[in-house]
Amino acid sequence: MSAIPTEAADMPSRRNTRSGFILLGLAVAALLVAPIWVYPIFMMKLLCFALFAAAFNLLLGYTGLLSFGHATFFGGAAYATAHAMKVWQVTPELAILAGVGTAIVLGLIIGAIAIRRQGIYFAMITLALAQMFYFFCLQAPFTNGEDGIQGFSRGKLFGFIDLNDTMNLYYFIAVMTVLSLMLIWRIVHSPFGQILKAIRENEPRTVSLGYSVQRYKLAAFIMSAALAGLAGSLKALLFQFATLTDVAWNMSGEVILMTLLGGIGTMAGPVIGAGILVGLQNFFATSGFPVTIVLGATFMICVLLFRRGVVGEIRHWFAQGKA
Amino acid sequence: MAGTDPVPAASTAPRGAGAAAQLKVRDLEAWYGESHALHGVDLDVFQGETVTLLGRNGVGKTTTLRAIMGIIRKRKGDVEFEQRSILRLPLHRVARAGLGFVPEERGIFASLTVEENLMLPPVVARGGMSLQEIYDIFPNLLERRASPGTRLSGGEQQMLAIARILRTGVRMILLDEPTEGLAPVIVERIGEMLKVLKSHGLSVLLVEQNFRFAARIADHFYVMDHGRIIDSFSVSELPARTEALNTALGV
Amino acid sequence: MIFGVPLPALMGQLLIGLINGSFYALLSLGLAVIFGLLRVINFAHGAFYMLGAFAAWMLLAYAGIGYWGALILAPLIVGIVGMAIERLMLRRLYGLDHLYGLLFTFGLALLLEGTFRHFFGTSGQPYTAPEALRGATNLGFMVLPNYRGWVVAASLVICLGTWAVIEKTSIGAYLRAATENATLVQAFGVNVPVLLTVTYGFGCALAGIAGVLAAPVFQVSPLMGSNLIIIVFAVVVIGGMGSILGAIVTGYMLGIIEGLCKVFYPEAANIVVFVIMAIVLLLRPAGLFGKET
Repeated sequence: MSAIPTEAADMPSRRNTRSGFILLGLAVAALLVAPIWVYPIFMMKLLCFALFAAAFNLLLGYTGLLSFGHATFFGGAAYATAHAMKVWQVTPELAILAGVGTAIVLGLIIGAIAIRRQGIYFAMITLALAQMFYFFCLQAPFTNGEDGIQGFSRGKLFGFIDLNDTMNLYYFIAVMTVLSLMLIWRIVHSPFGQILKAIRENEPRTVSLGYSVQRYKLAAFIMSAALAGLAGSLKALLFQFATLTDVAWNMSGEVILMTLLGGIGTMAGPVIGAGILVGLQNFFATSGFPVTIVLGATFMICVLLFRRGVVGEIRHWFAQGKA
Repeated sequence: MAGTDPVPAASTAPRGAGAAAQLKVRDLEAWYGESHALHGVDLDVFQGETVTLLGRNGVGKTTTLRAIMGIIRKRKGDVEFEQRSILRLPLHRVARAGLGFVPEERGIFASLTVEENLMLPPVVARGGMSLQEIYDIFPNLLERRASPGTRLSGGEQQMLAIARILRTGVRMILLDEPTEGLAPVIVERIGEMLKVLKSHGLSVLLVEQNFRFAARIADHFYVMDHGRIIDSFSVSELPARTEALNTALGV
Repeated sequence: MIFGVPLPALMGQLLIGLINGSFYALLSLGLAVIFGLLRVINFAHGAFYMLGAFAAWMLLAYAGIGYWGALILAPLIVGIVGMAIERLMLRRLYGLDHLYGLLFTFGLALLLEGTFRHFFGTSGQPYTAPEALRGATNLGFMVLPNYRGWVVAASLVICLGTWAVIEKTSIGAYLRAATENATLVQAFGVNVPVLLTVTYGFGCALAGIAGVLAAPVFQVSPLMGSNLIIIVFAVVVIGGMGSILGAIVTGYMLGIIEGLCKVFYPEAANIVVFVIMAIVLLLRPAGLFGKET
């Protein structure tokens, strides 16, 4: 059985590329002016999760691997960054590097084990390994257990840009997110990305064409982990703490839901999905109605009625309109 | 195609002596996903008859059986069994209507013993054979009753696949390529078995590549090509047709 | 003393391991039965376990029905809930990638857990063992709390009973055959859609029984299932889902290993199952009892 089907128009036609650039331009313009209307902390949180979901989608949408343990990379990097800032007192860029490096190492280890099985087993294995990491974080001394790492200064980027200034922080996170999304776009549309898609569509055939599929999967897994780690590091920098919530299985579930909601295997989907989910969480957090119920119901509805996600449904609607 | 005589080349005495056909297929179309596999199949099987579908590989013979049975769900047209349309019935109700199915790959279950395989299909009507009668006809199944079904040889598996349908009391069997890949001696035994079925009054719709095998047991023939019936004739017309058929079937 | 550990302590941990193993076995058995036929990894299995415990608690609190009644009624309730969900929702996902089944049941787990958390909070509700099973028996080398002995015995009986039904009866033959080729079994006249519904309900009911058995041991809490289910997933990966007996054996085995780990290296007790999973995957990717696919 093939991996989760996507509605992605995979080959970038020139027109698609152009409209992609127009959209990107609009998005960047929107990002520039957004803080005028939107609470910047909310925007930054949204950007971190958008990046997290886009990183996750690189694996699910473009390689066909459902990881149920991406919180490990997100939260692991958050811990590393927080630890580097608080204990080593390094500058933010080094702390982020430490976070991404941690995510890469974790991605290498977990990926190498998990790619030994496919499909549903892959999902269960990543979940189990992530749970193992959760227990590790629960017991390891440097994470401060239930309290987490908190109370550190954001410091000065490269020693002179003060990130304790909200607008500086906002534009830093915005630039990092946009660059990362462009990197993902490059990866997906590179020859390497084409092979990932071939694996997603038909793994045995890709093997028979002589590609060492396992290596490609592992590489995709590590890239996805690294970018998820970057998202986690930025998030730690933003809120100035890293806690067990970041590595818990609920977090892995949330990133899946964001991607599913926005549209698996689409570029804009995870970003939109993250926006919807972060918005929903903010809304329900103040209403007193339990967020978990909302998440669960959204999950069920998406899977039953709405598998293409927001972007996928829109695309499908346009494609049918043309035909 | 609809409404035309389904038996374009028939010239001899009417089959079934004026009685309604037990199985009546009219303008049956079927799809595998997007691909259109049957383009309007018409055929009749009368009570007690053995009817063979001939044709080269990939012309839609197996698809016809699967579409009649309802294993393929994407269909159009009509299938009547004993004057009752079965096209809209859920798959499990088709067997209950009296129609048995033996698939091409035989469908012997590896996780079931020989006897469990035999007992698996529910009895749908009276008149089926008892386990004892089946063991009398197939003593080697009795001998191997406790071993896993797939440990049997290919020929034994085929016998098991047919025998388990005999228990159920169905009145017609759809039988897909029973001789495929079997040694001549075994093919011989399968042929004898089909004659036993016939003597019990069971109707059979048979898909067969082995023309000479089919010629010995069938009463009527349909020839398929490109998802349609292109010819139809009775066993008495067979000698006159042999040469043309050999060309048509590419034998 | 064994390796510097006093015997009663060792036996005590072994017993706890065996208890946990009983729950692992019951849950992974249900998962394996459901997966075999429906090809759905039931993420909601932990939630159904929780539901079973809560059903027992509510039967007592609101209807005055005690433990023995709950042992029958609670799994029945959980099974019916499971069947309704299969019938109304899960069924629509059969033709799709199996991952959708996992995602759907994950959402269901969140929904059930969130609902119970909303009404009962996160602190557990106590549920006492029935009169007949209170107290303890001195076995000479250790003191065995009666209820714990009962849990181990009951789960063994249920697991082996389920195994026997699947392997030795004609209903089980339908299940095994449909696991191999559901379409053909349906073409023989077996109502496979109902078989699927009942199987899902039965698997959920097994989780429900585990929940009732667990209620007096642990507290009845909305979160009792979610951590357990992840360990059970690891158990299922270790055992491979091809074999019913494999699921049972692996469940008990890992419970015992975990118990031993608590004695000799308690820091790793939480993660030992996951470590074993990683090792098994490296050495034998298909799992201990799995067939290479």
